[in-house]
Amino acid sequence: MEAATTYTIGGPLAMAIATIGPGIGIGLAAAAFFNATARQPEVRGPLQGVFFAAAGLIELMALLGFITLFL
Amino acid sequence: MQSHFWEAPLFGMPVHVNTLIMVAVALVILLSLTKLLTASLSIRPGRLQIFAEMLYDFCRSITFSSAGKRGDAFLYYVGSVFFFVLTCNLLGQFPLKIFELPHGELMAPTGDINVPAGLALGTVVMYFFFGLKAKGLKYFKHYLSPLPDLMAGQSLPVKITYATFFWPFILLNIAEDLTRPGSLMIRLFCNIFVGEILTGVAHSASHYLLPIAVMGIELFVAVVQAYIFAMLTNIYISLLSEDHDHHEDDHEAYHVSPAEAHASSLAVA
Repeated sequence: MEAATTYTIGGPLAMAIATIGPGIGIGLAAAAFFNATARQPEVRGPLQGVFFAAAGLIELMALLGFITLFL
Repeated sequence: MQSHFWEAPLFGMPVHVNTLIMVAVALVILLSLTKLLTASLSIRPGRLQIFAEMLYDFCRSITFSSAGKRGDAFLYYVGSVFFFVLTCNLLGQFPLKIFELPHGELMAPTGDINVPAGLALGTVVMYFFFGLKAKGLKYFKHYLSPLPDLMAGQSLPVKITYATFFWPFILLNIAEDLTRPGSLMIRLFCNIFVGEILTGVAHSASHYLLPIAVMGIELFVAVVQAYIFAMLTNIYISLLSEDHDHHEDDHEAYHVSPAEAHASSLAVA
């Protein structure tokens, strides 16, 4: 990637703002996951898969922000 | 946007040769591993067979978590997708810069948006296939999703009111067929592509230690993304092929005898 890439301030700013929501969202999901495992350690296995799937769904919002860098 | 792909025309359409090379490498690795792991199967498993059974069990735990025994029908697709995506993601972590290409550079094939797009399309085809197979033409009833449940047992004016206010849900349900593969595609592509960029940035910042840390994160992301892709594929297929009328054998014991599993897979396939 030798060619000079010029970004305006808008793209990075959009990316930065777009990460706020998913950050909070994944934080909440992880907190709930830890709470549940602390209370009932035996649900850890089943919950782990659901947690990762949910994290993937939430993460998409930040990735859509990343896409705006290329628009 | 400058191209880091090696584009070549094939039937009048541009083809990314570097991606094709990496996909071919991934397929060779997967097929030879499969051949190696299943070379000598026996009742008393050796080390390789135990490893292979572990991998199989992991895939089965994915489908079993949401579909129960019914999941054995699409276990083969979900497992294949998982291992293909995993191999493709991990290929990006090899020092591929040492291979010189005429144009572009080698990178993880899932970092090219065409590969995730193809996988996502495959997922759509599979959930249509299994949905139509399980429910027949009743499959298309799910496009009306909240309306039949709301209208059940109501009087005619109430039904008309519901239809007036909730018809946009039908458009949303149709749009879901686009957003499901689109989100799968963007999620996988962005994660791997961002990983490539991040490694490059870390490398330009410092030649020692920092790229190693980033690549460690990338290994984790590669596994997690493969898992998420397989998990979501499995969830879509199992949701849309779920028959509400009869599911009696859904949550029985996880372990079935091999003969029984074989019989049930034959019955569905």
